[in-house]
Amino acid sequence: MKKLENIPKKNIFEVPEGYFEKLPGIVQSRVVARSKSKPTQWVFALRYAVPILILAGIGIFWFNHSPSYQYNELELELEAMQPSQLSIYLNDTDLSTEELVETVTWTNDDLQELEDHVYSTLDVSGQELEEVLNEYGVEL
Amino acid sequence: MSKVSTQQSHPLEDKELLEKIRNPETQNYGFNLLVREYQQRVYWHVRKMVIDHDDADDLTQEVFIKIHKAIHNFREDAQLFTWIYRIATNECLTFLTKKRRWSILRLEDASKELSTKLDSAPHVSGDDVQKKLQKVLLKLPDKQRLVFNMKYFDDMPYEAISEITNTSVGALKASFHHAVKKIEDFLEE
Repeated sequence: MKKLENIPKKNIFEVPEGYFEKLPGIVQSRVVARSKSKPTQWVFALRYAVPILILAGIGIFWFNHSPSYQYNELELELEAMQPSQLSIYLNDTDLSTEELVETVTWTNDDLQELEDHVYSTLDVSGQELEEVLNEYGVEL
Repeated sequence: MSKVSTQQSHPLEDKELLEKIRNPETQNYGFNLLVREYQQRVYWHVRKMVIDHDDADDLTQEVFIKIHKAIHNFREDAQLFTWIYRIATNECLTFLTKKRRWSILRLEDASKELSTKLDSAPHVSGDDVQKKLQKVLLKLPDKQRLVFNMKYFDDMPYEAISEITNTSVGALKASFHHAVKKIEDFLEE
């Protein structure tokens, strides 16, 4: 077996003439160039702050003008409105029942729900009902 | 061409160097002294790993720029030379890892490329046996080659290598022993 100890320990690598005399100067100039090009602290802060502010601005604008936000606002306004006010509004408008029906797409479930709601809130006696039916000539 | 030993004859005290670097009035002078003090040890440490002079030159400059960036955070828990060697070692290993990744993408063998440089690149001397030893070393894993270089060529104590590589002395001894065995087997081929 060839032994490692039989090989003379020698550095076979070389450097160009004067390399180590020039290297400190090269390193120093690179360090100085790096320090000069280093942005000041406020420039560094602005680099991050400006995009964040722009994004926040866009976010606020989008939130205030998004359709879902407007829809929510409308719902809240309707909730706050009294049924009597709504009735007055509907009576005052020229919308006919047919027009209202045309603009709304009713499903069977919607109609059933509406019917249940009407019957559950109907508070009339049998006599009153009979009078109304007679008045309109309806026979059951 | 000049060949320079990895050992310095009159090392400046690290404490004195650090004092100069930490003083705003003398920091540039102090850093310049540090580069002069450690440039050869860093360069040869790097050069033995990357083989090519231009690569070693780039990496040595990068090492000192990193040192300049981080020197104010150096807390003297370790010796200055250990800290500098650690930075140089990390730079070398990162460079070699990247080089190997690129070689895989280009369907080339990084070790073979470095081996070819031993024959063709300028600034390499030595006889056939010594070149063969370097070629055999390139067959070792990078970390094992690093340990071998520090122990065999630089005569560094295991304790110092342990601090630089963050590896136990026992593991380093085992690594060196395996490296020697592999090298002798390769030399026999």
